[in-house]
Amino acid sequence: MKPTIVFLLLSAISQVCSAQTQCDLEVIRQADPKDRDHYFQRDKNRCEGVYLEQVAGTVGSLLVASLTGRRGVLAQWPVNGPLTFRWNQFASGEVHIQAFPVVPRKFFRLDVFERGAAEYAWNTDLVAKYLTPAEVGLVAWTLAPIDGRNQRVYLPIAVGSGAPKGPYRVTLVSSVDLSELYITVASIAPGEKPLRVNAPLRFGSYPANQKIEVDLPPLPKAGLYRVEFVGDRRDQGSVAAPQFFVNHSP
Amino acid sequence: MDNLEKLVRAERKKLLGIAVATGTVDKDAFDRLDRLCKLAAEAKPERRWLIPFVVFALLTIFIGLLVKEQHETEIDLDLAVSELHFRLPQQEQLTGDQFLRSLNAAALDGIVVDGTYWPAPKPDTCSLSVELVSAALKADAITLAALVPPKGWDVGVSRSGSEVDFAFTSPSPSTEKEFAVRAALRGKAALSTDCTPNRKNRTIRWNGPGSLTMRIGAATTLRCRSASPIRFADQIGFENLRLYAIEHYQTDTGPVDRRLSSVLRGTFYLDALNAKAVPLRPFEDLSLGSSTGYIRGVSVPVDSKPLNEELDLQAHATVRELNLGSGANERSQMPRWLELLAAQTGITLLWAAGIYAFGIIYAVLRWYHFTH
Repeated sequence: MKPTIVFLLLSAISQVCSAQTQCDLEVIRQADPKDRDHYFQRDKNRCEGVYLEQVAGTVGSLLVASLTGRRGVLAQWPVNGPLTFRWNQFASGEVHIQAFPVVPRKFFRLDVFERGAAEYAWNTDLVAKYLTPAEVGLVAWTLAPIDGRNQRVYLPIAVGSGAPKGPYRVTLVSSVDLSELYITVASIAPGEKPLRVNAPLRFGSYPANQKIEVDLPPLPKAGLYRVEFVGDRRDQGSVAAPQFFVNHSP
Repeated sequence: MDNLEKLVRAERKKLLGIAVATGTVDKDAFDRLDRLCKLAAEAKPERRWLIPFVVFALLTIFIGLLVKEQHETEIDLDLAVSELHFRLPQQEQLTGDQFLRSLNAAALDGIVVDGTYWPAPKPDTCSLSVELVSAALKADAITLAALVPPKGWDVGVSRSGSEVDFAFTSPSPSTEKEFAVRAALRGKAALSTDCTPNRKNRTIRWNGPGSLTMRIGAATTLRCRSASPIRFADQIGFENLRLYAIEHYQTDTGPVDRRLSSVLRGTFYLDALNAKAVPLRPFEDLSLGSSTGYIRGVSVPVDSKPLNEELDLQAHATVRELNLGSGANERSQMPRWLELLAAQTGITLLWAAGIYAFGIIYAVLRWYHFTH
């Protein structure tokens, strides 16, 4: 009897501990516990809320803010019911869904961790109090071993019904003014020629802290594609977004 | 002896009672009481050992306070050093974006050039050299993104003229084996690397944008040459700050290691002793033992000479050892408890207040005794 109780207690404690570690501790530190909407673990797999100060993770010289289908633009938050979005499963790893503001001086974060699922229904009541859909970046990724190390694989998101299909749109936000932005897209399959190598987007201007929506070229085959963005700063030098991989499942 | 004291007290009381009742004192009775008092005083044991004991005890306490060092103490460093080494207690940003003229890396795990991965034939073996061509425009640069090594990695920073070297070491299997550093290229540049399957050197010439990701392995070094001073992040947390270099020599009998101080000049301050300043001479050995703290700032002096090796370092540390010099000349600089007490202005105030209060109480008691 006693070992059973001890086992149950230990498993309960371990579940609580493992659940608590999912939230971003840095964001928790910056959240005001007196605020009812502050960032904390709201469900078993969901941490959501507002916080007070900028933290690392949702900032960068060139930030990948979202990866969706081209028709996945959301004009307003759903009035009744949650916002459902889908992704194509890749490997068996945990999928991390993250939503955050793409506008400066607003501090909100959603972290959802899903394993084995290919969709998530997000209750947008909380985010709707602070941000419009246009102000929110939404990404889903998983970690997978590529070239001998765990790397981030973005899973394109489709909002509403239906699985995500190409062509895809990447939304970037630069923290500095850019004069030009270049894209490189290459399949990681051996022998494949890159689809784009440092191809200029030629949008004209890329002001800081503004969304830059980039359509990826049509991806010909299913599989993983390495994507890189490099931008020329207006003053000197360049900025580069961390290279990432896109899982394409037509 | 107690009985004698009781007898003296009883006799004194009796004589006082008679004196109060009659107004006179019998001479014989007074003499008897006097003799009894003298006898009682002589019967008391002499405590000649008391004063030497007190002196000895106080001396022991003072010597103890003079010799005993603090277990750990806080210091502030304001130094010019040629290099520094430390361990990162957590993942930490070392630098911001750097605009370089050239970048060299050794012992890489692999590179990704314009979206193509070139692995190292063996782990931590390949090297890379990127350089802007001489006719580069002002806006052209090799932009090295922020260096953010994982928790537990050892970092070494040294400088030689316009070049700053970063040495990264993954000291234990429990730490992450590698991390990525990105660079973006603008302008005309040449890249040379042996990150190829047959280790043949390969050269790429860029004329326009380019991207590069380096996989930093367990013993990678980066050499950055910049037209403007390298900008380091502020408030970098550290463990085990080391201000020395180990030089290796190969001799006929085998390798020889030599430890060289990297302190060029500067001062450290003992916070516990009201920021007492201890100046350092060039190349004086300063050992901090196991230390924790944060680097308030590291910078390349703006007006330094081209061949200068100087890095300005400001840091705050909690140390458990603090030694100056080496070998037989090594001497601890940890504050002694007596120095610590002497430095406490509160204790001086307490003594002064105590003496003042004692004087007041003594005067009041004297007055009370006199009037009653």
